[in-house]
Amino acid sequence: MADASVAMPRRGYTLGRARLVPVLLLLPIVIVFSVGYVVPLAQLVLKSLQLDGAWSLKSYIEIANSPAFLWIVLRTLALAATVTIICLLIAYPLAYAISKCPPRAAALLLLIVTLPYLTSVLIRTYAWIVLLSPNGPINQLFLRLGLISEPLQMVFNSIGVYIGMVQVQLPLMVFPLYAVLARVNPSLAKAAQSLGSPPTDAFLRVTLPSSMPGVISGCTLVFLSSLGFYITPELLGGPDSYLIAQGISLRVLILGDFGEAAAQSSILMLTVIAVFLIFRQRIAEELDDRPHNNLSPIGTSTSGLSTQWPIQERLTAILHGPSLKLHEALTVIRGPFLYVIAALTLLLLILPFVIVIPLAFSDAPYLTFPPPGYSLRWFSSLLRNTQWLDALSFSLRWAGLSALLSVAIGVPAAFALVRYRFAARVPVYLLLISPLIVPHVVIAVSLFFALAGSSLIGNPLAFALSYTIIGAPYTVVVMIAGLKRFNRTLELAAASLGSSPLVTLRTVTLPLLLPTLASAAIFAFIVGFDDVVFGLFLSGPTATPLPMRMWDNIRLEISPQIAVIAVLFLIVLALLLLLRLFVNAVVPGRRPQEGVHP
Amino acid sequence: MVDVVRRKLLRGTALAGGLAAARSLFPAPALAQIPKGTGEVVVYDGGGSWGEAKRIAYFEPFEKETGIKVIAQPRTDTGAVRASVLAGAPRYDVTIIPGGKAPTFERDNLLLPIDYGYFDKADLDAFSPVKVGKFTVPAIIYSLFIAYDASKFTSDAPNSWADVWDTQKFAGRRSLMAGTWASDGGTFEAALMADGVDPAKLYPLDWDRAFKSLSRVKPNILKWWNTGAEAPQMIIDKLITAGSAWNGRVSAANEQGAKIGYTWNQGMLQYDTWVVLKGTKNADNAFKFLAFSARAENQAKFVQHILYAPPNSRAFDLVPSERAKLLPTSPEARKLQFVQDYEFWNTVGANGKANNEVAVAQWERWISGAR
Repeated sequence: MADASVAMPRRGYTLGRARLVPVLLLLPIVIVFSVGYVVPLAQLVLKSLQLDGAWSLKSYIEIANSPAFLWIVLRTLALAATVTIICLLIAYPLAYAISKCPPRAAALLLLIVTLPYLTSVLIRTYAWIVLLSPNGPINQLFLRLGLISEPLQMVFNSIGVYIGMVQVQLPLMVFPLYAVLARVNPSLAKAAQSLGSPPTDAFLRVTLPSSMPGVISGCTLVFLSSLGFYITPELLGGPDSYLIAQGISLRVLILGDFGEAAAQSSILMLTVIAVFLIFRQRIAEELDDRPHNNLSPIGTSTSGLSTQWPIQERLTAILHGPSLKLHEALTVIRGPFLYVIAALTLLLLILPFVIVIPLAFSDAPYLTFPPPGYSLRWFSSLLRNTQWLDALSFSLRWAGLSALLSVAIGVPAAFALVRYRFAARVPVYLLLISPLIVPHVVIAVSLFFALAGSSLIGNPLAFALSYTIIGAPYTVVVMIAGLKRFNRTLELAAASLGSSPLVTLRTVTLPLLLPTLASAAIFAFIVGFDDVVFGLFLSGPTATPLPMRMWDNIRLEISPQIAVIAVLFLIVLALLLLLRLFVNAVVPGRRPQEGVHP
Repeated sequence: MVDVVRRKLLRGTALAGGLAAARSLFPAPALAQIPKGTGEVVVYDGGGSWGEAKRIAYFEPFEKETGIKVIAQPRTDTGAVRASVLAGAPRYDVTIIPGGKAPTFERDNLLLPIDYGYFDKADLDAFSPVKVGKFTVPAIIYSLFIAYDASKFTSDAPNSWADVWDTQKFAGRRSLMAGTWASDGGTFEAALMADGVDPAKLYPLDWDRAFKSLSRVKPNILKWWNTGAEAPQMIIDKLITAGSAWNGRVSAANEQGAKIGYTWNQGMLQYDTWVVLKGTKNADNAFKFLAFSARAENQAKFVQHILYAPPNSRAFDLVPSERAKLLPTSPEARKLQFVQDYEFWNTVGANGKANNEVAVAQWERWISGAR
C-alpha cells in the first residue's frame, strides 16, 4: 500500500515529464512561428474583413462581382494541376532510378535535383529564355539535326511556363517519391518475379501501390506551392499568362490596394489550407514510422497517422485494368526507357547552368548569348561596387544567422516529431511545413503590417525572423528524413553501456547526424539568401539584402552582373558541400544507413 | 594640329565663360544658399547606370557641399512605399515615384509639402514642360516611344503606332508594357493612336476602343513587358522586331553597341517626380537635397551619364548639343511628342476608383477572356 502510494505520484511525474519533453522541444519553433507567421496571417485575414476600421465584406463582394477573378483562379488551378502531372510523370522514373543507385550516387543525384532551388529565379529564367528562344541552342540543334524545319516556339507561352516551373518544383516531387521508393523492399518485387510475375507486373502490383503515399504527398506539395508562383510565369509566360499570385502582388506592390490584396490572399490561403487538410495524412506520411516493407493492410496501423484511406484503393482499382494492358508493352522497353527519361530529366535540371556560367565571364556590356568574348570584367565590377559588397555581406551574415536559428529551432522540433507521440503531432508538422506552400508575398505583407509601427521595419532582426520562418521548414523536413534513416541501435548501445541520454545525444546522435545538420543549414541559408520578396517590405538603410540590389539593377538594365552572382553562389555552395563531405570523412562511424543496406 | 588644340581650348574657355556668365546672372549667394547640415538623408537610388548618374551628379557633391550624408537605397515598388508611410516608418526620406502615381500619394495624404526655401528662384521658374507642385519636384523626363530592330528595318522603319500594329508591313513579333502598369506603360494610349485617334484628342481614353485595338495586336504580342530592361533586351535577342520602350534604356544599349532604332513620333513624354514622404525624420535635409538636385548645373552633369531629360530647362544650356539632341525634350523631339495626361489617369470615377485602377481591373478582365 505504502509502495503504491509512493509509486503513483512518481509514475505520474515521469509520465508528465515524458509529455513535457516534446512540448519543450517544440516550444521555441512554435513561439517563433506564432510571432512571425500565424498571428500576422490571422491579422491579415481580419484586415480583409474590415474597411476603415469597421467590419465589411466589401473586398469580398468586389471579388465576387469580378468575373475576371474566377477565371484567373481557374487558370491558376489548371496550371498548377498540369505542372503537378508533368512533375509526377518525369519525377517518378527519376526517383525510381535514384532509388536503385548506391547511397553515395543517390545523394549526388538528389543534390542535382535540388540545384534549381539554389539559383536565383531571375538568372534561371533568363537562362531558359536563352535556351528556348527561336534562335537559341535547342532550336539550333533540332534544326541542324533536321528534326524540325522551322524553330519551335518554346518560350513566352505555356510551354515556357511549364518548363520553368517543373524545373523548380521537381525536387518537391522527387524527394517524397524517393523516400517511399527507397523504403520499398526490393525483395518483394523479386519475390513476385520469382513466383512468375513479369517485372512490369511486379512493378505495377507491388512497387507502384506501395509508392502511392509518396505520389500523393508529392502531388499535393507541388500543386499547392504552384498556386503561389508569379515571377517565373511572369517572365516566361506569353501574353495570356496571368495568375492569382500576379494579381495579389500587383495589388500589394503597385496599386497599394491592401484590402483587396488581403481578401485575395485570404481566399488563396484558405484554398491551400483546405487542400492541405484533405491530404494531411499523406503529407504527414514522412512522420509515419511503419517500415514500408510491404503493403500493410490498410486500417491496421497503430501509429494513428495512417488511417483508412479509400482513395488510394480506388485509384489502384481504376489503374488496374489499363495497367495490365500496358504492362506487356512496358516490359520490353522498361529498362532503357527508364534511364533515358531519368537522364533527360537530369539534363533539364542542369541545362540552365550551362548558360549561366559562360554568361558570368562575358565581356559584353549587356546580356547576350553566346558571349562575344570572355573576361573577368563583371567580377571586377562587382568587387569594386561597395553598395553590392555591403549588400552581399548583409545577406551572408543574416541568411547565415537565420540558417543557424532555423537549425536551432528546427532540429529539436524534428526530434519531437519523430521520437515522441502526442496528440498535436500532425497539426504541428503541417504548421511547420506550411511556409513552403503559402505564397511568400502573402507572408511578407502580413508580417509587414504586423511589424508596422515598431522599430523592426528596416531592422536586420526582421530579416532574421522572416528568413528563419521560410528556412525552418526545410530544416524540419531534412532533419525528419535524417532521423528516420538513423539507426537507433547505436544510441541503445551507448545507453546500455551506461551513457546518460544527454551524453548519448552529444557523443553519438549529433555527431552521426552532422551531415544531415549541414544539409539542413545549407537549405535554410539558401532560402534566405535568395529571398527577394521580404526585402521589398522589410529593408531599410541599415538592412539591404543583395537580391534587392539585383532587382534594382535588373529592372532597368540586365547585365551579366547577375550571372556573376549566380556563379559566386555556386562557388559558395560547392565550398559548403566540400565542407559537408569533409565532415563526412573525418567523423568515423558515419552513415549508419549504409550499414543497413550494404 | 595646333589649330585643333586651340579650337578645343577655345571651346573650353567658351564653356567656362558660359558657365561664369550663367553664374553671374544669379548672384553667388543664390548658389551658396544651401547651408551646411548634419545627419543624413535616405534617398532612392534606382540602381544601374541611373543610380550611378545620381551618385556622381547629386549624392557625392551634395555630401561635399553640405556635410549631410546621403544613404542611397534600392527600389521598392510604389505599393510597398505606400505601406511604409502608412506604417509610420517611411522607406526613404526622399524618393522618386512615377508622375502618374504621385497624385494618389497626394490624395491619400502620404507626402510632405515641399519647402522651397532652399531653392534658387531661377531654377524653380525654369522647370518645363512639367512644373514643380506643392508636393512634387519633377526628377526626370523620359519618353515611352516606338523602338524597333534597326538591323531588320533599315530603309523603311515603323514610324507610328499604326505601323507597330501592322505586322504585314513590318513583320515580326511585338511587345508592349503590361496594362497592369496602367499610366506607366502608355499601352492604352498607344492602342488608341494605332486605331487612328489623334494624339491631341486621346483623353478621356475610350476604353472599349482601346481594348478592341489591343485585341487586334495581341496575336502578334510575344509577351507584355514588365520592367524597362525587357523590351530592349528582346530586340537585342531578336525575339521581337518592334514595340514600346523607354528612351533612356534604348540609348544606353545603343551606346554599348546595340542596334535599336526608334522614332520620337507619337512618343509619350512621361516623368518621375521627387517626393518627401510623410513621417520622415530628415525633412529639412530632404528639402536641401531637392534644392541641390534642382540646380541647372547638377542636372546637366546628370545628363552626361544617362539620357533622361532634365526637368530644369536651364540645364540644356550646359549640355553639349550632340548630347542634348538625344534627349526627349530637345526641340525637335519635343514637337513630335505629347505629355501624358496624368490628371486623367488619377481622375476618380463614379465607382470611387481612379482611372489607374479602372485600367487594371479592365485589363485583368480582358486578359482572362472575361471582358
